[in-house]
Amino acid sequence: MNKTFISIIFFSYSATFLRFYLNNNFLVSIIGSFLYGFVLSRILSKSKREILLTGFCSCFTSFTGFVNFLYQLIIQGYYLKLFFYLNLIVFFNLLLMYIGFLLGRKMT
Amino acid sequence: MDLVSVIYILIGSTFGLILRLFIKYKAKKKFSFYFNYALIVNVLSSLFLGIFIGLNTTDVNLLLLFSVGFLGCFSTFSSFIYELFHLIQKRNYIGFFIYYIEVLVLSFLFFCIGDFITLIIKN
Repeated sequence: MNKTFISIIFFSYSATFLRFYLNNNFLVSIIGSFLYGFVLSRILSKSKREILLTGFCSCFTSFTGFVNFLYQLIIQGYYLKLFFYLNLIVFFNLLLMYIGFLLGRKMT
Repeated sequence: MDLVSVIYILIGSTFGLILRLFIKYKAKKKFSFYFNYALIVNVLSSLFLGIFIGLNTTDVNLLLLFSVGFLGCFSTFSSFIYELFHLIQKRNYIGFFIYYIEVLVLSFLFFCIGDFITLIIKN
């Protein structure tokens, strides 16, 4: 039980409650991707990077929420909508991660 | 939100986090690029979600424990996006499409398997 592990646990708890409070999977995934890109471009120590990326961002965004959203579309029979939303969500997340990455670069 | 539901979320998220960290440190050295930790974690969480949806429970505490706590902390969408981002950065566009389709097909397949398992158990 070292200090990094305890910090990871603390950050993941706060991320979980923040996600539960926001209760909007699209918003959560976009904010998480933006933060991930931002942290990625900053020069940080390895343990800080571990805490922010593995602890906070990964717990904040959830893949099962995404799969659950697609499943709701499948059982309603919107197959065209499913294909459209699927690519749109991934595209937006990649875009936001890139914007976060550029913003982090520019601030140094 | 009362104290009991907070405790349920905390227990679930602790288990999810520890399992994900365990898989991450195990998978770091052994596997190749198209079979990395984000893929394993997301496919496994899809399997668990399939089982959970197949059970069709209405218990609020179980929903908080398993869906919000465990699966929310176990699965990670941002690592999946990061792998795609990393492949674009390396200008490996064929690898990007392979990885994208691989993750989506495998998670859908394992989701159906999870649903199928509960169908067998119920009958």
